[in-house]
Amino acid sequence: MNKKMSQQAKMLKEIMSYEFTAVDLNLYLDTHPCDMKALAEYNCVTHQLDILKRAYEQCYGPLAAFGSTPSQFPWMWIDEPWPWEVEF
Amino acid sequence: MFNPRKEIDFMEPTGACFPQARLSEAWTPYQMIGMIFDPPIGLFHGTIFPELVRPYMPNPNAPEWY
Repeated sequence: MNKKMSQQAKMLKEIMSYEFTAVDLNLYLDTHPCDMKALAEYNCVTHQLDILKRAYEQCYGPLAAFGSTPSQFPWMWIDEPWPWEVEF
Repeated sequence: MFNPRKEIDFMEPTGACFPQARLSEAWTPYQMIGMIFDPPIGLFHGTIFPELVRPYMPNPNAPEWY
């Protein structure tokens, strides 16, 4: 694995960890909708996740096929590796 | 005359094999948020809540199944 791939994998793993935290807070908030601390944590994590995704997509292309980010020309989604092909 | 208690007794389902068995009642404490793990630590543990970290430990005495 070259250095570029290693950095890509690191960024992807960080995104995964923030997505996981957002999901866990989502589940908590489903049963605790008035918990202000949890809501603040959720909003903070979601904001950070958005920053991480934008940074990743700027370097390595889109994380999803459609709907999440605009594509440069030519259509970037078909550039390999796809997110699930990155080795950790 | 309508007897609510009798009505409830009548409506309560009973077990087929154990006619005297009653429905179970579950109780769980309400979770209060405290400290949460940083995202990489939470991903590692499978939860962001320290109080919910209960790693699966296989029983060394259990028979192996293939």
